[in-house]
Amino acid sequence: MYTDHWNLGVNPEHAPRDLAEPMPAESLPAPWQVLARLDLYLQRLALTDAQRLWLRTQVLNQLAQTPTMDEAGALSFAFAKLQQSLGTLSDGDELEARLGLALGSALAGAGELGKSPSRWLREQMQPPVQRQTMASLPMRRSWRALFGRLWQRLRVGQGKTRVRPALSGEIR
Amino acid sequence: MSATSPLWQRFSQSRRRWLTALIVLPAAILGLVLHHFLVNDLPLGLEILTLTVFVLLFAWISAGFWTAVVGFLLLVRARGDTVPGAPEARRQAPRPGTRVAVLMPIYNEDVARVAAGLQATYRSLERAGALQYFEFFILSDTRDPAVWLREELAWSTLCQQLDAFGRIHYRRRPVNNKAKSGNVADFCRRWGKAFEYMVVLDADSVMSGETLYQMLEMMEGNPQVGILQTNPVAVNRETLYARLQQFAQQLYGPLFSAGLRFWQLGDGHYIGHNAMIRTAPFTEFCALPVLPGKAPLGGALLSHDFVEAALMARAGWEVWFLPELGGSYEEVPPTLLDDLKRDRRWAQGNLQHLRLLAGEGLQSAHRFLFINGAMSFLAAPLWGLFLCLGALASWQMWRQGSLADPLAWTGSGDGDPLPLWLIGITVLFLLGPKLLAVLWIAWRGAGRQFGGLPRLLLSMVLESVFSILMAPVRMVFHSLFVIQTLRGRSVQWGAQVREDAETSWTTAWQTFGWCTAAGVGVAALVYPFVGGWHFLWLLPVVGGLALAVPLAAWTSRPSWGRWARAHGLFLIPEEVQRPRELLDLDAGVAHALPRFAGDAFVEAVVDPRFNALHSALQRDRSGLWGRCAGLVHKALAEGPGCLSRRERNLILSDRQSMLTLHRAVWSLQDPQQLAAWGLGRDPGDGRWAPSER
Repeated sequence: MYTDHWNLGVNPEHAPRDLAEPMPAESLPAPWQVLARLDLYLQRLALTDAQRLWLRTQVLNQLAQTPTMDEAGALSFAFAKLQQSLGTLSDGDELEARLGLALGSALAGAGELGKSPSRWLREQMQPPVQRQTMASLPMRRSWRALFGRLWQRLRVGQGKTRVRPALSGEIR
Repeated sequence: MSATSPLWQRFSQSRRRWLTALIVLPAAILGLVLHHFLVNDLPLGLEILTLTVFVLLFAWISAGFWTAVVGFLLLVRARGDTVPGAPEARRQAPRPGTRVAVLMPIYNEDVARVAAGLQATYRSLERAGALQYFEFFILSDTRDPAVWLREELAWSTLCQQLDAFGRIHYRRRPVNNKAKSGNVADFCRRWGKAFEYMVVLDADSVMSGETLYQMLEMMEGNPQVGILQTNPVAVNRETLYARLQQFAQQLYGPLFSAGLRFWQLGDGHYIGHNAMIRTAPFTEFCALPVLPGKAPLGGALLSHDFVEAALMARAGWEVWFLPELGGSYEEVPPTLLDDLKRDRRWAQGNLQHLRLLAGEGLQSAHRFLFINGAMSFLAAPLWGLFLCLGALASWQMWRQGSLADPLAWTGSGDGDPLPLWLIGITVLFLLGPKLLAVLWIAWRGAGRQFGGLPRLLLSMVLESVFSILMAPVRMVFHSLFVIQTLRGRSVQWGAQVREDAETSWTTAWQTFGWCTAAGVGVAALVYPFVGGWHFLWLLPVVGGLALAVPLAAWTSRPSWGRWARAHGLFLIPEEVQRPRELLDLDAGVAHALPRFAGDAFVEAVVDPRFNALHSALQRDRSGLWGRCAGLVHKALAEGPGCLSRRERNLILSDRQSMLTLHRAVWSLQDPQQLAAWGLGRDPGDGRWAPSER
């Protein structure tokens, strides 16, 4: 049953001694499980302290305002709210926010061009396609024709000369 | 374009006539000599067969010998090949806006090594001040999802480290048809229009920026040139086997390369990497034909490079080999076993080329290259056949009483199966290039580059001993490859082993045990009949076979290679004085890219940064959503371990599936399920176990 554990407060310093000690996550009371999960997630993002605190606060505020829910619901709800809050770091799209945090200053170019980080990244990954054909052509492989040509050359006594056809892509 | 032939063609025609004469005449003369020796003693059929095989084999080794002799003379003259029309003579600064794509096709490779190689080339171009002309493409055909993810991470990290977003690109083909040639063709179709030139690299290639820029200048100054091929030198390996190969290639290679260039001129070869290609004609003319029938001799061509060069030349474009241009590196297979695995693919590819011999419009030089490539493998069964025919002839002559007692050696040669001087000539043709190579090194006082002249000589002798001992093993395996190919057994495309991986005794016994058994068996069987003197002739063959297992195992040891290096044996110039590019490569390999502690797929799902990076690079593949939804549910319920490689690839290739799975995993409540994703309490070790990078 999801109850008012939030009254314990979210600051680990104010937590009761038994909760401040390391202990298996699943034996923590529900809000602390949620918090532990959130912290684990936030640890993996290159956030500033202010951003981290703000995100935590946002999620906890949302959780505090919601009616009672079970533990699974709390986790899903908290994570959804975390992603929503993350999205606010980047025009509402949490993927863009996470990408921005992953690539950091490398994304300066995207901002200058007014492009979203993910679109910019895809463009960097591959330049625009300029499609052309490269069809496999059959090769005539007749021994008879080959010997015929050789005989012709021997009979006429000419050295073989090559005439290169003009190419569309040729550089002159 | 004028219809007159380029000036170099006149030179090449005259030179090739000389080469033909040098190959055909000695082989014919020695064949006649052998005929006089055998004519009274052998039945006609056996004699014709013996003579044919002998002439073919002798012609084959004499082509190599004369190429080395010509190379030696050119190198001693130290002026290089000054034929008119050579691209080295006409260089032009690249026009502004010229774009060159450096392609690195990869397939399940060691990602750290690929990234380090690319980084070394990139930095070298930066130092050469030519980076503005070049863009890099990592063209992945990787099927293993873990390697794919590492590639993506390596690409983004490289781009960040080098500030190279927009200059280093990454593409993974969803369908990898036609292997490497298909991958390059895929690039040409998509982006070829935007790049006048492309440089094709191998996963283990490194090239110096200076070299790349010089090639670009040559391309710009020679609009008739289609392909410029460098001579990549083998470096960086530690195993004894690979060090032997590196040493041999670096010592003898220059002679053969200079000679090859002398014969080929503008009808050169292309080895599939470390070459610059003019993209437009390549796209237009070099699409590979598909042979009628099924693999191994039909279907798609397994070995594409020689054919692409031939097609380029057929369309009138020149293909030049540039042996004097340094700064081009590659790595060789680390062990005999890996080398033979590669040879298996090459054998099939080269035998396929024989079906193109009658191809319309091909230059005779390229037809010769096809034959030459096929002979690299056909020589093995021919050699085996020749040994059998020799034994049969001896037996026949002994039975007729024309051969003296085989157990007694007169010393005059009269009683031997073949005149000694004939064998002497053959040995000279085989070992002569090695002696010429040492002579050339001594001539130019470059012994120090190989650890000093005494060590160079000792290394050469040891290398010769090893290559003589390994030759019979190669012979039997190459013969097997030819037989397998002709019997219709095709080979699968596999990633090449590029790290110093030892061959275990178990593997060596499994692979080469039968060679050892055959060698010992033949020796035990033959010795009592032929006696000591004749057995001595057979010793290199049966000895090499008998020692196959220990040779394969011992030469695969990096420790033995390092020992040899510490004692100044098999040194190569790049080890005495390390080029900057290779120093960068070492630093790049040592400088760890971000690594996954565990399952890369789990990290791509769980880690918010990596998930974002990977998802952003994927498309929404709505056609897969139905299938992917089921897979996502399965992964959540049973953990990532339940997904096959193919199922993982499906989820990984769809952006929405990856985002959904990421959210769902982080919202899981069940500790067991969480543990499967590296989150929460691991039931196995009883501690909080977050997955860590």
